[in-house]
Amino acid sequence: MNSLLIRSVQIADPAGSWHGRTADVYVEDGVIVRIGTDLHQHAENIIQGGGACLSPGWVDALTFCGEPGEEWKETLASLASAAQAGGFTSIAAYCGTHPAPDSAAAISSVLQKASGLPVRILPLGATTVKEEGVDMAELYDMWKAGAVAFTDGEKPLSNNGLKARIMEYAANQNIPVYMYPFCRDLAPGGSMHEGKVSNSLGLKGIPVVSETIALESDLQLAAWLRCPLRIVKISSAAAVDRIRKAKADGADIRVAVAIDNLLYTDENLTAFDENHKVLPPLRTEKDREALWAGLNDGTLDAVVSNHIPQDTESKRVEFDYSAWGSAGIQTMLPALLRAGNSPDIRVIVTALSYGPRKLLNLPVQTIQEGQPADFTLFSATTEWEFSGQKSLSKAVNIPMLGEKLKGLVLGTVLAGKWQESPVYSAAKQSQGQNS
Amino acid sequence: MNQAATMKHLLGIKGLTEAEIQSIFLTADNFKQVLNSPVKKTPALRDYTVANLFFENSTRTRVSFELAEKRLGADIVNFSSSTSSVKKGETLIDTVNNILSMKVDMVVMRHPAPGACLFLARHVNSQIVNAGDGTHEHPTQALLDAYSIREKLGDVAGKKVVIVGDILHSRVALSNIFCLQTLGAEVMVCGPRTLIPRYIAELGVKVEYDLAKALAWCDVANMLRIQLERQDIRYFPSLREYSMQYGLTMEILNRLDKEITIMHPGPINRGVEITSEVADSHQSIILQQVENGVAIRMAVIYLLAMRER
Repeated sequence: MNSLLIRSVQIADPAGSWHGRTADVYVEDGVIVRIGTDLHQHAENIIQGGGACLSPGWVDALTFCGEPGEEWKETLASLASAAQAGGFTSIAAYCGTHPAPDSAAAISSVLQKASGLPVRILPLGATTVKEEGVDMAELYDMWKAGAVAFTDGEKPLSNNGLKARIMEYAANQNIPVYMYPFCRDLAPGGSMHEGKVSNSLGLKGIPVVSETIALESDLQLAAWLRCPLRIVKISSAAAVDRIRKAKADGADIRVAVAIDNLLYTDENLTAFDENHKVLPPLRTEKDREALWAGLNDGTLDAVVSNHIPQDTESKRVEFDYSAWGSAGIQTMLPALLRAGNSPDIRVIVTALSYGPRKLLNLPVQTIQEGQPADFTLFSATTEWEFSGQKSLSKAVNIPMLGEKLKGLVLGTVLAGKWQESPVYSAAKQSQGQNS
Repeated sequence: MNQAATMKHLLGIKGLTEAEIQSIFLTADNFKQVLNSPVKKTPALRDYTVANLFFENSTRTRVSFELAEKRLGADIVNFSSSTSSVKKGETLIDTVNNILSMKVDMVVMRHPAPGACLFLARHVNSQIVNAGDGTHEHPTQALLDAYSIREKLGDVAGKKVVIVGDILHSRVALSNIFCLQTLGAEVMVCGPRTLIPRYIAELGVKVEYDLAKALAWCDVANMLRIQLERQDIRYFPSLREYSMQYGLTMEILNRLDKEITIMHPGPINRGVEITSEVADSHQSIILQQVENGVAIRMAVIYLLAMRER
């Protein structure tokens, strides 16, 4: 029997009855057996929480991995380490675009490699064969093999007929298919949000309408076909408004926003910073505020890392030639805290635990006796410096690298097993040396 | 102390102060005198080596920079490649560091990617002069344009300047907007809607789609070249139709109740954006712009080099 006692933690679980209270949590064989104050259970492993927050385990519903095909950018192992240090217990990972994960064999291979990693890997499958946006991939076969949801990775689906068929087909088993609303035709050559900043940098823009037109077609298709809709990566105030209206009309929609769009704006690109060359593009402060408001009022369900690891050769080149994406899976907590100017814990737990599970049609977990022991232990106030040696991802395109951050993940509990974050271990060690 | 001597690079006009621009002009005044004297050279930079790196085709800008460097007494090396370094497999940083290893003091670079000079300035240890980076900036062109307006009209402040043509693909337009505004001029852009960036008015410029109205408003018209090589998709049906609406002819000029100054950054597509008659008229200062280009580039290179001494 494995047993674990976590002492003196503040329960961060707005959907549960212990929320906001300081308690001890006793776990046996991966299940919460007791929650209470001053528990005296004997346990093999006792963790001193020191008043840190204990949340139901965080799930990243959209992250990318270089393996297979571009292992020098990120392997499953490096991604899993970074994700665990970032507070995640599960990550929905799109593994490799060369080749695309468009078969049951590809999904099984990911799951095989995933065993023993510090996070649970939930494979994402490609929606279309070779993610070419032409023929539907074998969604059912991949789903049976363990794929949890489908996406064409960094590519949006553009053919409305194909979208409609995929939505209907996947609805049979209620398999989540991510729609990424982006009409590329309206942004030829675009490399950032179309606006004053793009005009002053001489860069071609990606207009808001390229998102809202695609979103509108997704909403109408889902309404017509009476299918649930999973939308990822929205970036504009207009999209938030439209989704709020659709939700008010009773549509079955779950929506995720990428962390960068909550934190940064197009003003971050004035010095052509390649780390901020991301899709969807960083828009204006007004858009950023609207996304944040949408997250607060439940219009948006989840925040995803949209972690796209790149190497020096792909990223440290002229802006036009630089690859898309940023890789912030390890800094989701500090990023979210900064984006919301120290938001309340409710928003963090909803955005990182409940929301992503709803997006993926997974059962929402709370911290109650009888529930699985799957937790994230974090401090929203601890400050630390994110130096290069603390970065566990292989990626170079990490916007917060080198910065002083607020908010530290202490560790995670996956299947009842405590895993301390290496960053927290190092911090404790250096504190011990200093004192 | 010379204001412009505080700059390490010239990456763009954005960020330059009016005082810095004026000190470039004052220095250019001196060099213009030198250029018009019997011995049109100074030995000021005889211990200096400048590399001209052109990753995009250029004739007049390259020649202008080369002459400016030679007339300052600098040693020069030229490197040109019509394909980007990336496509050849060598990174820009490696290409430039290779050249810098041969004891080069300054890099003048033209590159098709916006922001390439800023990128380079962040990653290599050299002074950088932007000779045009994609659709971003072309600072020496804007300086010579403003300098030519100052020479012709006495001052730039208070003047009304319209930039006509393909604003969307033009680094000249963007640098001109920043430069003229800093010097106190009013700026308008004019062209077909598809070639005007949609948020350009937020930079404080007026937008006009009718050439006759734009000309009636302005003191100076800067006619941009139609950059077909930068248009990967069609923004207007044909050159013929473009010139029907935006080609500057003597007939249009004669209808104005005033005499405006005509500029063009070159090379001219005669009969497209401007007729030969207008280009060669006394209202045109196109060749003065070219002449002033050498003096302005001498001033920029000289001031940057002095900073390192």
